[in-house]
Amino acid sequence: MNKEYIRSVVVVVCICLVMGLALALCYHITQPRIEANELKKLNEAIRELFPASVGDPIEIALTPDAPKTLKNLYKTADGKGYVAKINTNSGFGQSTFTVGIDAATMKIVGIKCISYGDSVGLDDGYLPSYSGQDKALADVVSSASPAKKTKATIEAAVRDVFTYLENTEFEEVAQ
Amino acid sequence: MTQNSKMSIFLKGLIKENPVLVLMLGTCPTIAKSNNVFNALGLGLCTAIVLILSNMAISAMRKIIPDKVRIPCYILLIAGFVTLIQMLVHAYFDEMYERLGSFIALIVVNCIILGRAEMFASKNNIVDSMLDGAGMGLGFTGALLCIATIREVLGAGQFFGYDLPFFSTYHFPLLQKTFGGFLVFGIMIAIVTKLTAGKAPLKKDFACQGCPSAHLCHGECKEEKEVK
Repeated sequence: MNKEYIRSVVVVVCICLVMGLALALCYHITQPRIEANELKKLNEAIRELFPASVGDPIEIALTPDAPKTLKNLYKTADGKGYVAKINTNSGFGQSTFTVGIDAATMKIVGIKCISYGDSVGLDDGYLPSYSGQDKALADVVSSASPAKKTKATIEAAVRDVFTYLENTEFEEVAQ
Repeated sequence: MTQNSKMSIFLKGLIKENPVLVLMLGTCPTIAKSNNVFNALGLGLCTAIVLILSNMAISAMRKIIPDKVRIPCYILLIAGFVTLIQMLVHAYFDEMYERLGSFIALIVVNCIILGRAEMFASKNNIVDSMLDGAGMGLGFTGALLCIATIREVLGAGQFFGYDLPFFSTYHFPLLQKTFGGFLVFGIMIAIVTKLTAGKAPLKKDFACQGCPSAHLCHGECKEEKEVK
């Protein structure tokens, strides 16, 4: 009986080790390419949100009290706007968005989806309805898909960015 | 084993024992991701690759894996292969990764993979299991492609994203919705049932083989059903 248990444990542990090694190797090979893809998409989204801005955006160092959903914060080269990269997780899967905010009016210039891992697709009218909104997000389309929980997660993350921008003094990261 | 029987293992997954249209496995991703051909092809190929790899690994380890922990072991192997495929697709086919979203990760819980592991790979050698995985994978991809072609052409007037003359003007957008998925799926099942009349396996013929609790009831549930 004991022998059988030991054998079961050994087999499961061996499978875990072999699959873990295979995954580690695959991660080592694919991660640089995945990061490059993500950076390319981020830069494209930033240029789309602030087409008038010339030069690379300047990254802002996040303070420890930054919201968990805020992954990176950038200021455009001309200082006229902020771009926040947010990660949301509604429980179905992770999604990444970039939010462009006008520095003078503190209104959203636009929001772009970089990756979407939620189970329900984003409706065509949902993200464009963020444009021109302030922190209250009063006129964001509520009837469009995705699911309520997904929308609530995205809206909370965007509000957190506004709160953070209003209450924090930043230092620019040396490029 | 003769060449013919090896060929029959491969071919049975295509129509006679098609996992989607005959065995009724993996219907969730079939309905969800068959709204266009690109998605269907991507999901079908990812599933086929996972199916081939997991069938081969499970077959190779069938004499080592103790019976009591076989299901956790199968899940570990399948989840590992799915994660590998997910990372590779994310790195090299980024557009497909974006379109398929969480459905790549959900291949882990696709009944076809665990079903074939339990019904076939755990009882047969590596080559046969690989052929079974390839046949079933291509059968799944083929079924997805057929449904997706009908839904994209008639529902969106496009094929692979390109507008088609006539259909781009006169199409039926409801076919792009979940309702359309069920409708086309039902029609495809009817066609395949007609084509394989009397040849397709009946559910009761393989139910106990595919059941993870079969060793506990020794097929008594099947006998009870037959008595009723």
